[in-house]
Amino acid sequence: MQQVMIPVRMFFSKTGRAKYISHLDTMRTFTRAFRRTHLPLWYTQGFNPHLYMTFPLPLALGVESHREAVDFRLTQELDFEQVAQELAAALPPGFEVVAVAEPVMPASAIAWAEYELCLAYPPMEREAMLFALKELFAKPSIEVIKKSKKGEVLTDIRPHTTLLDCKVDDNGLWMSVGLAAGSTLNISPRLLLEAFEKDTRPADSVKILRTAILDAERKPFV
Amino acid sequence: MSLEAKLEPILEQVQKPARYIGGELGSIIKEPDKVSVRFAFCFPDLYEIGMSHLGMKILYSIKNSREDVWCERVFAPAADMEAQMREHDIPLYGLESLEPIREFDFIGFSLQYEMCYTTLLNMLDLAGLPVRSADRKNLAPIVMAGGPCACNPEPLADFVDLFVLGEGEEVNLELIDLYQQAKEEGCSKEEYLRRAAQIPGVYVPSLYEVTYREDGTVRAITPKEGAPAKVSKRIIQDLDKVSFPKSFVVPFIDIVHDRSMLEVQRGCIRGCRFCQAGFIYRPIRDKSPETLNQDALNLSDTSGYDEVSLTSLSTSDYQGLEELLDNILPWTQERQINIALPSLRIDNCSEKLMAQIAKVRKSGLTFAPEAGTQRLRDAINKNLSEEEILSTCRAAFRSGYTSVKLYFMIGLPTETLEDVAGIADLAQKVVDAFYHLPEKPKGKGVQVTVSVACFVPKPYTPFEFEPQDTPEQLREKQRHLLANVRSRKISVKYHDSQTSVLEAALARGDRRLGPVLESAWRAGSRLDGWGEHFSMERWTQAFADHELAPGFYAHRRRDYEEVAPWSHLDYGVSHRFLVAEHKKAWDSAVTPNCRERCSGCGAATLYSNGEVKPPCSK
Repeated sequence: MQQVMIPVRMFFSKTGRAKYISHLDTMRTFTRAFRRTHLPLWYTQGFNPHLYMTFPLPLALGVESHREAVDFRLTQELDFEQVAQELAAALPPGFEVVAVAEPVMPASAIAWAEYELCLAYPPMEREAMLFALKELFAKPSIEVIKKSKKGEVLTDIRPHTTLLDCKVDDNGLWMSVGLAAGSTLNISPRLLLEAFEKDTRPADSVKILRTAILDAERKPFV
Repeated sequence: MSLEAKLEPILEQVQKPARYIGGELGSIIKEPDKVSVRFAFCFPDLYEIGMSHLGMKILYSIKNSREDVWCERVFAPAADMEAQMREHDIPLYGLESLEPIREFDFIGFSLQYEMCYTTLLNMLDLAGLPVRSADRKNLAPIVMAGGPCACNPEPLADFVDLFVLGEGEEVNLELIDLYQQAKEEGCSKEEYLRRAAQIPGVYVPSLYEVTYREDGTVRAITPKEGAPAKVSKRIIQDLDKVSFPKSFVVPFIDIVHDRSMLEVQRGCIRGCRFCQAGFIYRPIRDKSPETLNQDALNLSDTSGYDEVSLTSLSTSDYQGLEELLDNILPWTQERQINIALPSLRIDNCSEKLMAQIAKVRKSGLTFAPEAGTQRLRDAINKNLSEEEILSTCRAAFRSGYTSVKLYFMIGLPTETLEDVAGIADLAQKVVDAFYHLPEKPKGKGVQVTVSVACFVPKPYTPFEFEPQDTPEQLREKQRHLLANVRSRKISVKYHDSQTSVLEAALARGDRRLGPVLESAWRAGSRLDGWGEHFSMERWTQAFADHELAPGFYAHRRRDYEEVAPWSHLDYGVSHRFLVAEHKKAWDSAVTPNCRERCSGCGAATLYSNGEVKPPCSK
């Protein structure tokens, strides 16, 4: 008998201590959290059934996020508001449900992600850092060594990088950037940071927050 | 700057930062001003090991069930994190509050194996406390320790203020009550310890004087200031009435035993003569299938785990096993939850049981014959025949298994090279049993893994009098075993013999090992159970610095009359019984298990009502 299968997409935030939980550990954490609910969850139908769950765009260790996505399936139709409530009650601290909805776009539609980076510097260095950042983005190319499974490749990340905003704040330098994202080309904010720190110096501390996942037209991934 | 803020930059630099930040589901957060006692439950090993330990979960839950107590978890940092903590001046902290444990009222350690002793010292030092008990003058923190190694805690006597012997569920709370009273009265640490020594099951080493003979053996152990001459271990009289956690702290990272765990029984009926757990956890006590089914439901609901493990020293000896499985299998299967049955004996693992396990578990089967010949299996009282081993393996092969893991030991008392060769012969017979089976799984080969540990003589066993084989003898036996394996279907794994020597020295050590331990730690020893951290040279030097030798403790035969360093501690099992069992071992004579016939070991005296009839069940 073919089971009913309703695809669901949950958007959630991952902040505070939860940023130290790796992607693999997040998957395990979610599997257990989902199992603690009484939701009619869909399991794979193989010899060794497991909870179906997939993350369209994994988040790196140490990075916080305001809007992540996870896809799963239900075996019966339910009010998404109720699903959201059940999941919110089951998730450990650091994870908050933002929304539960029917998936509109496929994961392959993801093309961009936006991040906020806070780099700490002493007050006297901050203006110089802001200047250096603007200079970096004024260049026609930003070459960094990108590590992949195939080895190290010298890559120009400039075409895949947009500086959306930047300013000096109480901590040091704040910037908002758009970076190519997705399964074909994914530019980590740390890669941009590496390029910037090569020209300047390593910041005293760094905070990275993902604020949005977007498609090729820079519309929110829904 | 708060500790959390100080941690932020360093957590980016270390492996598996989630080990060090808490915040897991089920971890208990309280208001510091609303509790009167802060308890740091320390496990002297890495997070992944400590978080797998059921005893810690039980005591964490019991202490936190009291409103006035906040118990937190503390684990040993890995080398990279330790370096960062020392560099940035971050003291050891509790995972719940992220506050330094040196400010706490109690620091309690769980002693699961001897190789953790230097880690205990290192954790005290990381906390910012003097490692020696005598150098910690204030009432707080009281440094205590419990667990199986507390049965001979003498090597740690200089560092730990008090030890809990036996099961901790009740006595931990009694110690907390006494502490609250002492704090109110403004008692000194000495006065608190004097009073604590009057609680049954509490051993305060500073209240005992130990003198030695010229040959290095103990002359006498004399109690002071009203401390009891013998300290008896505590037991829980009724396992159905003692509290068991309704939820576990569910870790983010992968730990060794990452599942719901039930304790189906305490103690073991078998009395295998090498096995310390088989003696120090006596008497056998069952938990009812109804209670266990409820425990499993609670944990599955609150954790979301997809596996429940039925643990004990020998789960197939649990009398309620079939009833429990009948209760538990229907709902666990519906909820996609596996049942894990570790610690099954080879002789009473019925085909029905095997079929039930095969339904839920696809991994290999593990059995422990321990010795290769019938004579040696009789000498160690394993009570297992070759035919039982082979017929169980055949049953396993029939239900689809194609790999079997067999656990053995070398260096057992009375062992000869013939017994060692017997291990290879037995493994070969298991291989042959597979190929002679008409209904063997088609198109598949068999894999027999032989895992060989080095025997370590332990206190409170009939082999406590025995010398351990030297590393040279053990290596010769390892070579002899390998030379006798002729099939590629058999793979042999064995353990390092050097750590076994140290384990043996510490297990039966006396107080003179305290300075040795401290020297080894100061020279860099910690996390000794991990091969990459262990250095025998460091330890050899530490022994030499104090004019002692590991061989005195590890490789020496003891007279029955010798005063053991632990002879003032009573685990129920009598010296007379151990001597009788030791003699029977040398005659290769077996002793029936507790259900067949009571052997009068003495553990029944631990029941408070004193009316217990054999076999130690109510």
